[in-house]
Amino acid sequence: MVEARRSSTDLYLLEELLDPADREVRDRVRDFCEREVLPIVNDCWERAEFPFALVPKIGALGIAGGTIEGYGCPGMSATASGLVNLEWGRADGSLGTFFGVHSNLAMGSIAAFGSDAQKERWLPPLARLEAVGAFALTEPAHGSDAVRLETRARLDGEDYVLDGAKRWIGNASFADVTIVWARDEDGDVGGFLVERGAPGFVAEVMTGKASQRAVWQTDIVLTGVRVPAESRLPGCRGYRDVAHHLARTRYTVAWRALGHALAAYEAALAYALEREQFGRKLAGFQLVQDALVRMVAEITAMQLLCLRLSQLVEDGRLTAGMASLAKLNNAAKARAIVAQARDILGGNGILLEHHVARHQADLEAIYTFEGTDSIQSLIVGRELTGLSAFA
Amino acid sequence: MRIAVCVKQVPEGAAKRIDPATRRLDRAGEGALNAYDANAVEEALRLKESAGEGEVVLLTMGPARAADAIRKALAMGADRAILVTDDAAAGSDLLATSIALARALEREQPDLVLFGQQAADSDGAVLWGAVADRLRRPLISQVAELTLADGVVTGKRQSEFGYDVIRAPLPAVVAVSDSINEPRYPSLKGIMGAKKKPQETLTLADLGVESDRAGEAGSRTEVLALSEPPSRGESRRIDGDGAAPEAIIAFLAEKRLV
Repeated sequence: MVEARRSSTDLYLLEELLDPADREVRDRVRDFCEREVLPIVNDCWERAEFPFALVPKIGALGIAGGTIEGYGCPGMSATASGLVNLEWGRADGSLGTFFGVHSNLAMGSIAAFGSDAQKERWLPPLARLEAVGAFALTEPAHGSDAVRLETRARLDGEDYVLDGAKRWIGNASFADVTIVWARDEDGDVGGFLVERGAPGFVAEVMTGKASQRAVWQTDIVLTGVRVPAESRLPGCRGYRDVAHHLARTRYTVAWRALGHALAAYEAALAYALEREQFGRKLAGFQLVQDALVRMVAEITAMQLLCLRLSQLVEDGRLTAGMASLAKLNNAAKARAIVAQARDILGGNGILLEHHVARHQADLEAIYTFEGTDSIQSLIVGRELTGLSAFA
Repeated sequence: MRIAVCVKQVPEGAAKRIDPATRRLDRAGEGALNAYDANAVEEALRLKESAGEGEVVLLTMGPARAADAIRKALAMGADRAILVTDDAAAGSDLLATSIALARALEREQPDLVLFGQQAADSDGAVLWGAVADRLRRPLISQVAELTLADGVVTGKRQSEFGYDVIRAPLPAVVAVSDSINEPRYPSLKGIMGAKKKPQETLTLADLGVESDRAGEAGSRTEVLALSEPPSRGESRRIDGDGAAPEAIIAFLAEKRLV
């Protein structure tokens, strides 16, 4: 028998390309997830409970804020930030979304568009996870066409008055600050910092999800919510800026999809090396080996894509098309990989205790959120042809 | 106040393998900051923090890869680092190493030079003495408690029979004991920030060290022979493959130990 490669998920030795500091960040998150997340997450998922006890522990890890410099944020490289998101994917989709909403979307928006005073006030406690952030863009009637959002912001004296509805807003039922995107009287979209407990702000946890059950998304109703004029993020001049920011966070979703694929592949390989049928290990059957090989082929391509994408982010050369291509490719490929892994595990694959079923279910949300597969395709198509086919 | 900390990169886990051809330590594989040096870095950071001002400068000599050790110490909080690296320095014994380090320290003029008590790979514990001698500065070693006040360093020194309390005027050299503190665990922010801190690479020529005073040419000791430690006699290895607990119990029962 030939000796198996020690790390069959790093066939091209990409580990060598990682900066030691980035590797250390990755290893700490991985270790945390193995110690703190994996033992409890299936139960949380099954009962649709958000693991609040983990929040201060994630805060102590010092990863919230990702690439943001200053204000108590870690100032990671784009690759390290990608690797953090990969580890969330590898562990759990729900916590990945909790973290993505808090760190990438909410903190990222404040860092990108906030005034110094807003950054000073919010980023340090958000980085320590003493405060939690949420990001409210999607509306009941506007998902892919969020550009047409209907929530209104009307200036009334020293205040803005917000009216409207939001849907699918992660963390908002307990967030200390929710960034609500609303259209002002000039028709421009702006971000407004709404603090927990603001009168007229009601966020109700959505139930009945079959994906990412352990993270709480909410339906929000805003009825005459008054926020001081200085709650508006001054750096955002309109929807184009929001879209630009979403492209910047989208690369982390490509990493997350890779994380899910890795987890599913690793589970399938371990199972195939253990489980025997017809008197031999599953991994010894040609059809199973072929499936494993094709999974690794896609994983390797995803890894290369993610690494290069992060370099482009680091250099400030990321385009919307680059980010969308990665999200489109990785979410679709990861979706196929987790389905394949589920199949290799046979009937055991549908049991939560083997983790793969959870990854498979969670990937459905990733496949759709932060821009559906179709929308990503159209964003790339627009960049390739110069013609917009959707808006 | 400027505190220099001399640090060494050692093989990860301080696994000691010796290359029979060169009779030097095999430095292939991952490197790490010498654990004893982490105590010295920690103490330097505490002194700086309690003074509310100052600078902690790391100094190391070794192959370019010694940057791994520097990175860890920078992540803990040191301000900048100097790496002395030169092909001609390979194979330097402690005498040759002490010349290069002393020259680099003369350039920096630190108020205090800190060392860890020993190197985890070679278990050498004399370099600090040689460096202090070359700098003509007072030396306190095996220090378990350190205070700085009014230009005087006071070290509580562990000895066989109790503690010696020794005072020396600055500038001075101090080798700290590994009981002096618990080195901090670098934060992720520290790790990411380490890359952005100034790191200077110097050659022997930059330091004015003549080539016959470095490397093997400048060394006054020579390794004549190496041998494996004596065998522990008949031993049996039981791997943790699931049946290990039963195998261990059977072994103990066979020896009538349980």
